[in-house]
Amino acid sequence: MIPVADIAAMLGRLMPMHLWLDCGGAIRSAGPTLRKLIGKAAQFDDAFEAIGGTSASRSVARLGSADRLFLRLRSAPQTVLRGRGAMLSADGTGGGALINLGFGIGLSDGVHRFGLTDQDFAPADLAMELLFLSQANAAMMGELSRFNLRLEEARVAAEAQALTDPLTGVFNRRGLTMAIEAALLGAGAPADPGFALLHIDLDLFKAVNDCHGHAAGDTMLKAVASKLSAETRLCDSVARMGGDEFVLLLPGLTDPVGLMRLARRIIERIEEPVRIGDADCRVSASVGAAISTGYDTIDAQRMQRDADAALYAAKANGRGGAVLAGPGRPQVPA
Amino acid sequence: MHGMINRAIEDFVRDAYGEGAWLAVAAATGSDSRGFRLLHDYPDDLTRALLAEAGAPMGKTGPELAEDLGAWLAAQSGLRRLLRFAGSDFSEFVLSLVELPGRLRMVIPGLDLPPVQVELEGEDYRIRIASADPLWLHAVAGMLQAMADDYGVLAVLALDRDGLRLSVPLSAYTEGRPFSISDPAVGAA
Repeated sequence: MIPVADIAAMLGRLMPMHLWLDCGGAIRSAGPTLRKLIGKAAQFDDAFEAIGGTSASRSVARLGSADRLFLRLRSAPQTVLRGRGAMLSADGTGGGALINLGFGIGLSDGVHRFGLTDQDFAPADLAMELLFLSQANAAMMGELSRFNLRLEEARVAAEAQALTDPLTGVFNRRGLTMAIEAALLGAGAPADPGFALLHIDLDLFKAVNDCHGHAAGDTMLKAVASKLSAETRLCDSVARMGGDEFVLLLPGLTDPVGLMRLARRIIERIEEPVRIGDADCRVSASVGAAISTGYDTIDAQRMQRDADAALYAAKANGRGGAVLAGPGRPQVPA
Repeated sequence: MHGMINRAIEDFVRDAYGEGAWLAVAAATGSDSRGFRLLHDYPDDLTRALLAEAGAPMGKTGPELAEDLGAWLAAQSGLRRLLRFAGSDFSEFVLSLVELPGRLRMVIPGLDLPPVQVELEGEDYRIRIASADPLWLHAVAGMLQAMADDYGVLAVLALDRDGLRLSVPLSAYTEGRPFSISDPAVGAA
């Protein structure tokens, strides 16, 4: 016959989270790890609440025959242990129940809460592997999200590049198309403020290229782009369509008088001389304008065609003028 | 070879030798200098070329660089932490090397390390890796040296034809670095 103390010691070594109850629900022995959780509790009912079960004093037999037990710690109700019980025969051990417990999925929290170490778990228990895996998982997710962030940054950069005119840094044709599509999203809604397009074509630009070289021409284009950006609001879009053609998309600017005042101001800004090398270079600009609220149904292509037609009309009137598309619109002479 | 391994080489070169060194390695091996994709398979020859090119400026061979890489990997706080889960002391850690391929596979399916064998040879350990490529053994040797420091033991490693011979003349050489299983994971975003 093995002494009870030896049995308890052996159980403690093999099953550090075991619980040995007598017939009345008193704790005869508890594994060293379990003791860290339940303190000095002497009775099952002082330490645990059996989820879905009754108290141990009335049902040690039920604990001892359960295939799967869920026990909530009274000292830390967030922690639920799970386990299986076995009945002990009345002769020899004096009856009662032996229960082996484990953390289950709450392992990480439990380890943290009770300051456990790898020595607190039996090597056959997969606790360490579960901890390892959850931490490896977190590290992998971190690595993958860093990688995703890098891809995202590359995507944003590529997109910006695809929509930007490399010389001037303003939108290119594709960028403008996107901005117009965005403006059209709200078109037709009752609260839609509409928008205006200004097609701008530089006058005398060829002379800058011819007299001072292409580098000077490029400098002039950059200067015009920055003037256009300076004269417009953050919500406006500036685009270079290639050559010496620019387009402004102006959300909410549907008052013809205000729009033509802006066109006038832009032309004056562009006409200010630009110092390139040791020469003061001058260009001018002609502007064709179209306003979305002048249309029953907004068709961006038609608006652009009309703005182009207005631009040609302005050019035909002579340099430095602005024309608003559509009948009865005020014209700004050269 | 799994993209994760090439990525590790890339990160190591960037971290240890700088961005310029990485760009040179990428150019010499025809790799995308923006880096390797994590979940993508690359030819094994590319991995060998990466190690050879990365070592070339310092006059190091591919296997020597694999050793540096192993040590560097074990020094990364996230990985070092995961490695420490394998054993509560250095001797347990060495014996658990047989589990290393399984652990890797569990975390990253598809990342296959050749089988590792650990035997006791008197007081020493004999570690063999079932692969024709010596790079693995060199990488593991570098990792073991770094982990010996981490556990605070003095370890002596010798590579010979029969694999890796590891002796631990002093098992309490330094305090080692602190480790607790309940600390939060490193590298979590």
